[in-house]
Amino acid sequence: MNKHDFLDAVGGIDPKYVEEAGKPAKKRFKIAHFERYALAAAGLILLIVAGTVITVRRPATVSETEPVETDESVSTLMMSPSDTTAGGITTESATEEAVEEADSLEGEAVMSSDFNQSLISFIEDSGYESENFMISPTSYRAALALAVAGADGETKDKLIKAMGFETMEEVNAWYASVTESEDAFNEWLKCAKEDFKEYSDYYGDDAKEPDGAFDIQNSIWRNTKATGKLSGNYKKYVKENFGATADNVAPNKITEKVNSWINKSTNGMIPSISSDLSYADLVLVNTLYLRTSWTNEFFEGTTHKGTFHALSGEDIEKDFMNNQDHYLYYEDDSSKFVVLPMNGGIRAVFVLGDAENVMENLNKATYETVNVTIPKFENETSFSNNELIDYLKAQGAEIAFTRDADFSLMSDEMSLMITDIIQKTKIKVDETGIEAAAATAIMMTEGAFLEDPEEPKEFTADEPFKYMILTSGENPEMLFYGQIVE
Amino acid sequence: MDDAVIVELYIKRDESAISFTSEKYGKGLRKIANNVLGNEETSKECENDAYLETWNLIPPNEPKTYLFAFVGRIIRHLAIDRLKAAGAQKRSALYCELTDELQECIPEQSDVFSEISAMELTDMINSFLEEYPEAQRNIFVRRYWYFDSVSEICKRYSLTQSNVKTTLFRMREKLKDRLNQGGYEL
Repeated sequence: MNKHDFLDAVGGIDPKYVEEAGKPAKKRFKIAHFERYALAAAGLILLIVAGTVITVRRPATVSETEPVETDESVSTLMMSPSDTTAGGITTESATEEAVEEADSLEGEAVMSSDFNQSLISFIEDSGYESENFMISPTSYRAALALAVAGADGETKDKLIKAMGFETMEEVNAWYASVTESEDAFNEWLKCAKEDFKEYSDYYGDDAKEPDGAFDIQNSIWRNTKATGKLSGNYKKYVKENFGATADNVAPNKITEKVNSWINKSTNGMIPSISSDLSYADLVLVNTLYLRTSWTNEFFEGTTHKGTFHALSGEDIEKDFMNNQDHYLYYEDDSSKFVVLPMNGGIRAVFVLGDAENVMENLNKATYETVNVTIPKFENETSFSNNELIDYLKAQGAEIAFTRDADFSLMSDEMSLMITDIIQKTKIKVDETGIEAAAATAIMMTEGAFLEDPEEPKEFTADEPFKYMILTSGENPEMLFYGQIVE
Repeated sequence: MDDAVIVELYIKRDESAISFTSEKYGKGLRKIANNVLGNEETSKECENDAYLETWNLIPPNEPKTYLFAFVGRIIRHLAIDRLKAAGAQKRSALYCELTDELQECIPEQSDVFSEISAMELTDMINSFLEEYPEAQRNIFVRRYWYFDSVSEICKRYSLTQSNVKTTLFRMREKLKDRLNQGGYEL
């Protein structure tokens, strides 16, 4: 009798055990439900699916193509190339020069495009395909970087891979490229303001001082009810690599403190992430905030009411902005897109049709004169139904959510696991530009939280039984007594 | 169609019994074979062989309340036999995992154990399983009869990996103790 025969012998067990194990399992409680790069070159992607209509007209001098209107929902990508050389006054020509210098975006999007596309597809398949939504892959990965920095062994390997990287060094390099874009934006803003001040005499009275913000922040909040402390090495690591601040907060204050920090970091765009964080032993938070203007603003006087043909078939009246200029444009059988440059090296890509191959096709786009018509819009999205957890599990990182999770580099005094991930986003688009924010929070608790529920007791009165009707109190009165036997 | 009705068709030598069996249980049976063989084509061949053997075994057997377990046992046996004949390089990762785990249960006095018959071992495993509550027994049966992966068991019963692995480990240790104590008579 060897191991093969042993396995074979198990085959002969009592069929009643086989049939029993073949029955559908009873549902058990899982976890109590709570609310819930660049890519070498680009540092930031905000993906918006906001039901935008683009009317792209190509004048006869460029092409004989008839004006195109479409009522399909579209995707909007916002990208930041790393080589923002738009220092100095933000004239149209200067920015155009800077953008045209970064003519080829080849390679810029390749590294993270697989992760982004896979996350977007997953979110769409989770029920968002026919809804307006906005997700920030950058904020999601930045928050995960805080978690993975404290992970070890299989947990670390699986999480890194689920994030679309091979090693922790790649994670750090990616984050560094994001902050490079942030730095480049802020450098541009500083120069633009200085130049505006220097040359203000030459501008009209209605000239506006350059304005904008691009800010990415990380923080770690330890609930003082947690049984252990964070390791000094971990706190030092996340400070050096992700600029993360760490704080200890009492359970009755942690919700307010975290929400307040998020509200401040997103300029009030996201006032809160959760109504109750007191259950968590640790909260890891990332915020991403962007406010920037179109290089070539939409003139308010040309904004007009128009009809938006929604995915549902409904016609909705919206305010449409209009502009005609020289833009990067691409069209093929499955989609078309136009790239609208924004100040500080940001680009907004509006897509009609299939958005899946946009990143690869960016380097095939050419400068055309394009009439652009897009609606003004606002959108708020909350991913708090385990979508962001389910994504990581689908990528093979389920261990991070189990008692087997290894976050020993974060703390060797606590056995931590991830119990919740929430992201909230908000965007406003109008004639002046875009204001957008994202906040991602990862909640972690010690393993004891996931104790198996007790098997419920059964009480099924499907045989003769007795019953009593009693008053309450220390000495109940038996008002009625009876039995059912047939 | 109820198992009892399908079994009656076998008894009456009505060949539609096989198509009804295939329709009701084919997917589950192929999964069992595929978990062992790791090859869909060979699993399909195994499935067809299993139906033929079922045809030959009913009657005299009448598995009116456990047709799946009956055919499943046959396909398991056929798949494992094929694998033993094919050699180590053809074994699926899952199969290797399962046999290695059960290897842990084989007592140190393996020369004595090697003389035990399959029937005696099966009887022993049955009395061992009888002592366990349904929840733990199901985990064991899903793993070593149905060849489910640990993740599949976790998903089925909403358990953590740690729970499933610990349960299996403890049950294998207990089974090993039972076999070591000579809970069988030669």
